[in-house]
Amino acid sequence: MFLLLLVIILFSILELSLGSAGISFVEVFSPKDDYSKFVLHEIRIPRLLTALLIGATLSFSGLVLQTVFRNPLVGPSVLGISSGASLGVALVTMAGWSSFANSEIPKVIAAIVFSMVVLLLLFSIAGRFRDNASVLIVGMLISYLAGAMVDILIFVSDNDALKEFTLWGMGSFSRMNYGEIVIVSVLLLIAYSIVYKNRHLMNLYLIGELDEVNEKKKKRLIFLLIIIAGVTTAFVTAFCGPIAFLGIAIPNLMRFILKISDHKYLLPGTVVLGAAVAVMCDLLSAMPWSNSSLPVNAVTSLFGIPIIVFMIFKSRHKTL
Amino acid sequence: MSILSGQNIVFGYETKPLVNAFDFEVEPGKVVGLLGLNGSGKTTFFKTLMGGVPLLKGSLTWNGKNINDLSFSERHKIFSWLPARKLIEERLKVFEILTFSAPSDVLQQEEILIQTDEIIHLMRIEEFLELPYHLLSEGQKKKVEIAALLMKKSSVILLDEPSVFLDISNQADLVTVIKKLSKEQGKTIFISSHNLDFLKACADVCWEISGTKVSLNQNVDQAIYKYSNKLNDHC
Repeated sequence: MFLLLLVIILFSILELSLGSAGISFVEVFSPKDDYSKFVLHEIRIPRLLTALLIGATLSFSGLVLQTVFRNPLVGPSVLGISSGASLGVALVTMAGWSSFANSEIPKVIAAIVFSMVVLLLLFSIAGRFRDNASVLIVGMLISYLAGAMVDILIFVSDNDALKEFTLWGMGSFSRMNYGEIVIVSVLLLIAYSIVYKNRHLMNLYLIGELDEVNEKKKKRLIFLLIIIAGVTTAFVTAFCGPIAFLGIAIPNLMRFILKISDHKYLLPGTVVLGAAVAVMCDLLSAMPWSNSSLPVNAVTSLFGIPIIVFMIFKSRHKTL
Repeated sequence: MSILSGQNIVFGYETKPLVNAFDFEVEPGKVVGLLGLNGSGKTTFFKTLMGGVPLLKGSLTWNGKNINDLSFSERHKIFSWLPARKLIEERLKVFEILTFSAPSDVLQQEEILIQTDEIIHLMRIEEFLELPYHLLSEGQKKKVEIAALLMKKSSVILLDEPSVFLDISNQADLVTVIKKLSKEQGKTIFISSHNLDFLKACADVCWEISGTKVSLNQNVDQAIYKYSNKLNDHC
C-alpha cells in the first residue's frame, strides 16, 4: 500500500512535468512565469486529478459489481450504463446542441440522464427476476439496444457531429474543471464510505451466508451496491467518456497482488491502484516523447485486456 | 429443562402447510435426528427456525423468549444452518471462508484467529487452508462448510445432510465432532439425513416427518428401525 502511494506520487510528478509546453521538472514545484503557471494550474493539475479520480472511481465501481455478480469478468460497462451515456451524448451531439454555450455541460447532463434512465429501466425489469444473472443479461440487452440507436444516429448524422461524438467515445481525462472534480470526489467519497461500511456484509454475501435465510437483507444490499456502482459510473462516463477495461482489470489485479478477497483490504487497495494505473495510462497516452497524443481508451484497453486474458487463463489452469 | 420448544407449531408455506400442529421440547446438548422423505419439510423446518420462512401457526420459544421477538441478528447468533448446497464464491480461499464467517462485530481480530485455529484443528482441514474453494473435492468442501458454520459459535446448529460426500473415516470424525459439540459444549444440534447409520451414531432423539404428521421418538434405534422397514415395504 505504501509502495503504491509512492508510485502515485512519482507518476503524478512525471505527469505534471511532461507535456508539449516544455515545463521542466523543477518548474513543477516553482513555476517561473505566468505561462507555465497557467499550463500547470489550468491544464495539467486538473488533468492529473481527473485521472486519479476516474481511475479510483471506475475500479471501485468495478469491484462492487464483481462482488454483486460474483463474477470477476464483470465491469462498469456491463450494466448498459456506458451505452446509455453514449446514447445521451450521441443525441445531444447529433442534434447540434453540444456547442451550446461552448461547454461540456449539455453532453454531461445528457449522459447522466440517459445512464440513470438505463439504470431505472434495468431495475424495473430486473425486479421481476430472482437471480443476478438475469439482471446481467438484461443489462447487456439494454446496452445493445442503446448501441443500435447510437448506430442509427451515426448513420444519419453529419461529419462534424460524428467526429465530436467519436472523440468523446475515445475517452479523455482533460475534460473536467475544478468544480466538477470536487463534485465527483464528494460523490466517490460518499459512495466509498457507504460500501466500506457494508464490507462485512459483502464478505458474508460472497460465502452465501445471506442466501435463503436473509433474502430481504441480501436484496437490499444488492440494490444498494448496484445503485452506487451505477451512479458513480454514470458521472464518470458523462465527463470522460467510456473509459475501457480499468473497471474490470484493476480489482482483479488487486486480488492477484493481495492474494485475498476480503473487502476490508480489497476496497482501499483497488481504489489506490486504480488511481495509480489511470495516471500511468494517461502518461502513456500523452506520449511524452512526441508532440502528439493517443486516445486514453486505446491505452487502457492495451493495458486492461492482457490482464483480463491472464485472469481467465489463470483461473482455468493454475492449481494454486 | 428445555432450551428450545415449540407450542402448537405449523410450518410450511401459506399455500401449502407441510405439517399438522405439533409440540416439541429440546434440551441443551441434545442431538435431534430428522427423518423424512424428500420434500417432507426437513429443510423448511430449518429455514423456519432461521427466520427465512415465516412460522404459520404456534410459537417457538428459545430460553423463555419468543423467537419472533428476536431481531434477525440476535436470531442468527443463536441459530446457524448448513444448507445441503451452498453457493460460495469459488475463488475464495479456505481460510477466508472461515474468517468471513466469524461474527466480527463481537470478536476481536486476535480472538478470531485463535478460534479459527481451534476449528481448523477440530475439522482437520490444515492441509488445504490456502487453496481456493473450487479446487477442493466435494468432501473437502463439506468439511470447510462445517468448519465455517462452527466459526459462528451459535448455540443451536442445524445440519442439512452433513454426511453427504464424506468418506467413512470423515463421517466417523464428524460423529466425534458432533458428540463433542453437544456433550462438552452443550450445543443443541439438529441433523437431517438419509444416512441412517450416521444418524444412529449421533442422534439422541429422532423426529420423523411422514405425510403431515411429525412424530417425536426418544428411542433412536427403534425409530430408525421402523423407518427403514417402512421404506422397504414401500419399495
